[in-house]
Amino acid sequence: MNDRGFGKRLAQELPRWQKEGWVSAEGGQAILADLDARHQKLAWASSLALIGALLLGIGVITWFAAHWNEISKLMKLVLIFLALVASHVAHGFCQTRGALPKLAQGMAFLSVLFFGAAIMLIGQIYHIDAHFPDGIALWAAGGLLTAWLLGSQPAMVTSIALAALWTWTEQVEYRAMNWPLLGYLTLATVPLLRHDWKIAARGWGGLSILWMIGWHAQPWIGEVWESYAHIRLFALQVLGIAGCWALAQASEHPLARAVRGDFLLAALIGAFVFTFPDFASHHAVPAGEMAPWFAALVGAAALYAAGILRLVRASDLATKRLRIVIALSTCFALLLAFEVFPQGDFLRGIPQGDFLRGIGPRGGGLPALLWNALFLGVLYWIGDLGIRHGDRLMVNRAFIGFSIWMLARYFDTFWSLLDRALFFMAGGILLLAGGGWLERRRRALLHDIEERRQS
Amino acid sequence: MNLWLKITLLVVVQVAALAAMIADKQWTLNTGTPVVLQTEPVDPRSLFMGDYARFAYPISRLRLDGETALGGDKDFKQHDTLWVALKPDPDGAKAVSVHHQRSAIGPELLALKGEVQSLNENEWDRATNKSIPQRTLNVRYGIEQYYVQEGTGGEVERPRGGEKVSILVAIDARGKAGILAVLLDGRERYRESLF
Repeated sequence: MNDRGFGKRLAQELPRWQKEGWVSAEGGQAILADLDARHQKLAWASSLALIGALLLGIGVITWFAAHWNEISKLMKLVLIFLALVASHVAHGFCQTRGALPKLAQGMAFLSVLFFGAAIMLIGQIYHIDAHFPDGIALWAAGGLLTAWLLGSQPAMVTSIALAALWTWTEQVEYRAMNWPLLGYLTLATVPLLRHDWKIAARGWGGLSILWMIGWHAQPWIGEVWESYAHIRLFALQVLGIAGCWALAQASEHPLARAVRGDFLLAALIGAFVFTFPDFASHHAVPAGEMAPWFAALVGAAALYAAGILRLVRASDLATKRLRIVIALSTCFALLLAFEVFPQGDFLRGIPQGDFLRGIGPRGGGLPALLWNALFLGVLYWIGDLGIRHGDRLMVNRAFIGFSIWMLARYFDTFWSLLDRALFFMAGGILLLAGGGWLERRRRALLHDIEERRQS
Repeated sequence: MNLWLKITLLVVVQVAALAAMIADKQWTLNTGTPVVLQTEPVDPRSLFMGDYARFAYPISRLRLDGETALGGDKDFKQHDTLWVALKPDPDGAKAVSVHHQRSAIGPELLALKGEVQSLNENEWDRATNKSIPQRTLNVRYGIEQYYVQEGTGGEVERPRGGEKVSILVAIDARGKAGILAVLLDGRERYRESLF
């Protein structure tokens, strides 16, 4: 557990320990004050080391830029390599002889910056004008190796940020699938599984989602507003991400605990998008080869089913409530399947298939109505899950989701009255009342969680 | 693993990666076939890296239709990799045809690898002052920029009246090109070396 997490946990536990008589009130205060003072020093040391490393890095780069013409080619190379080696050696000294772990992290971060500067400067010295994302990929790989070998979270976070830039340029600017990123993500899990790096783990989750967003920029899927393929792909991605969330939610591993917040948020945003009645109505009617989409649906559904199954097995809910959860999860998957095949193409030849096919195509009111009901049900489940597990983040997410949903439906319903003062007055009162009620409920639930934890 | 051993491993791998960048470039320059290309200089400046000259070549714009159309394939998209068949000439190599595959280029011609930057469907006709249909590929070969000493870029970017800037490039067996020298009126102004 990191220093901040330990302090937070201690502050939550101390009142109970005092009540039990294990710790005196003065002793409890003294422990918290001491921890707070130490934490402040550590945070300052850490921030100063990172800022110092950043300033030194910028200074070295600008010095090179200012004296570039006066330095021979060989000397430039020697300086570049020396700067890189020096940052690594400084890390080693800080870690061993100096016993300065925070400064050592700053040096690891600096070495990643130096490696990037080395790539750019060698590119300039030798007039290397290659495919631009390749340089960023090499930089990210160097950062990953640094994080791996030196056990440095700042290096890992920098490497993930560079990998995000790499995949963005490759997939969005060059419109090419960045398959090598899968290798990077796999390798990055090795240090993430070894260390409890929450920020880096969340970055890893965000990077995976960014990679999936990049699929929509590919030429094989067509232009965004012309092809229904985007809706299909989006629905499949939401299903797959929901499956990843369920798998992570059922696991107690620190990496799974860290990334599940990202996956939950992405799945909720995906479901929320489908609650809009006009979503996808301007897209062309789906056409083309169905088999690859069907295969992708089967794959995503298998991942989702595995996640829900693990979640259900690990659940301590009563059978009746568990059935509701299973029904909710099944409805979610079925509605997404209908988004993939809005005209129920895969139902041809099945008895009652014609009735089900009548629900589509997308753009009608019924799918949106079902999605809205389901979205509210999912939010309720998320909130309930958060309360039972004492997870404040999940409770907050459920309430934020509900507030955004309410706002969206309000504008959807009363948009035609936008030019009337009544719209603002009635809307303001409604939202104020609703918002106030929601906030009170949220606080009451969080208070309950706190009380249950202490009892 | 011991920390110092890890640091040694890290240094070795990172230095090897950087050395590989240099070695790859030098391999092109040392083993490639020298070819002269005429240029059409433009004038940028990199804030980070100081002066550099950006070159456009006649082979940077490849016409796919009309009277001056090149032979070979026609169906290219943005960011496609392409192969240009070059016929060396002391006055500047000429593009003969353009292909998706290298195997389509005969042994008597040089194969140069490039990437489609953009595809134009129309061209401005100065004679009639009208836009006319003309499919043209804008291609990048990785020899479009050259870093020069600060303050000297103007010589290359804006040559004095009558001076002609041409580039001596080396094209290796993989179709990769590298700038060997910058020529002003056929005389070497800048020459590449390892150190």
